[in-house]
Amino acid sequence: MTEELENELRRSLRTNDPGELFTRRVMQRLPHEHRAAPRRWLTWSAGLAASLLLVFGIRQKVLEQREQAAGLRAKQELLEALRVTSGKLDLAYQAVDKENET
Amino acid sequence: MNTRISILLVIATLLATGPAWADPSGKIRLPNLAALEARASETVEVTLDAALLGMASRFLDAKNPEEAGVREIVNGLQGVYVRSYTFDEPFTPQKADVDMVRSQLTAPGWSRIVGARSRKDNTNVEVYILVSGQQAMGLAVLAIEPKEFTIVNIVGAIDLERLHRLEGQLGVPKLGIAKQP
Amino acid sequence: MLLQAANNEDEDLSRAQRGDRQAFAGLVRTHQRSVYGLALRMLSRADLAEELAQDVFLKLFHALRDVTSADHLRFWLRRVTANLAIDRLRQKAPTTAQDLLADAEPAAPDNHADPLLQQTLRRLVAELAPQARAVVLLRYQADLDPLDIAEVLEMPVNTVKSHLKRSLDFMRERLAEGARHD
Repeated sequence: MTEELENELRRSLRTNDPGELFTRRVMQRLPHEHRAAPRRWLTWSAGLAASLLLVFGIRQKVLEQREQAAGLRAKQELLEALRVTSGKLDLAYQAVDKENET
Repeated sequence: MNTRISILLVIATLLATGPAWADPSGKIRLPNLAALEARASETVEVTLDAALLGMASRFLDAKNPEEAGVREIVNGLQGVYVRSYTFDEPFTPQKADVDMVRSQLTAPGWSRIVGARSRKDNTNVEVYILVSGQQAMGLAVLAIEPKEFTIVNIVGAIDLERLHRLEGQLGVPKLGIAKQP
Repeated sequence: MLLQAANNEDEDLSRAQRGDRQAFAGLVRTHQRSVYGLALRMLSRADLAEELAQDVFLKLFHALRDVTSADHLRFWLRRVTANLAIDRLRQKAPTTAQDLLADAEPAAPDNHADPLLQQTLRRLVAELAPQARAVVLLRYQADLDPLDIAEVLEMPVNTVKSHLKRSLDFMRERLAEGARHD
């Protein structure tokens, strides 16, 4: 039964390609110029300084990203936990309802 | 009488007349359920202490109605612990695991507010709250269903009604199964 | 054939990253059906879906250097499309009965079609809350497994499984109710 429902879902959710017009509309919205940033010739010391900054910057970014990932994961776990709890409270109410009916 | 109202009255009475002695923590020791996890087709295991709850709370979007509701509930909580296992075949939990949870919920301050058993559905659901001062400071739920086993422990200041109302918001529309008399 | 298509995509990506607009148009053509399709079933309106899909490709254009491979590109597009759609759903007014009645676009042709059932299923999917909807679409439209869905949406895999189970239960229940009333 579940497999049938899943197959029907797959069929019902298929969509058509939006076509060449869509592609053209996307391309029309691109900025007019797309050039790679001009390369600058760096002196050796400026290059080293830039590399060090980059390393620290990347490290900081990695730490921030890790913290963000952990926070987002914690949030999702919290939502899931409260969802389960709320569902079981509803089960409790239903079970009491049934007892009261008999 | 409406089930929800009668349960809320029980809680209100407990809060008004509950003991004012030194606070038990509201946190219960959970059994080691590794064996269950190995057999389960679906598992929800959540362990969020105060620090992780604080972190999670920072990422809740106040402009999102469902997450704003969660934020209100989480304020004042010190821990959220859930162990929920779903099985493909009918399952009976170990008595030792169930007794381990229940025995902690006979400690001073804990009261069972719902104890509903249905032989027809082979379901047993128990809801306990810990009253400290005049506030509900702990919640425990033990739910034994034919193919699911769930233990929930929430530590901190809890609003049960708000918690129950979340079901309509967190991902799936209410099915309207629990009808009002 | 598949290997050749994958190689072409990697080539298009490389060239697009070097500024080749034709190559970028190639990437758009390759992925527009899946991006637009996800947007359409998330937002239930063709006009909003087109706008969102265009926005996704614009973002891609500006973020091309961050994309490392054709596989990563697919992942990136799904994540951005799903997240943008979830954000827009949260911003707009709640779905009205009118929104749900207007079937934005019928499914692609299929010899085994039961159009009425399919329309009902699309409506039921449109009733799911944004995250649950995204999970269902990534599973049954994009054919991702729960682990991949978890990565795209940055949620625990058990949350994905939970969304799937509850959403299917919900749809099954509503279909059964509908059958009882017929």
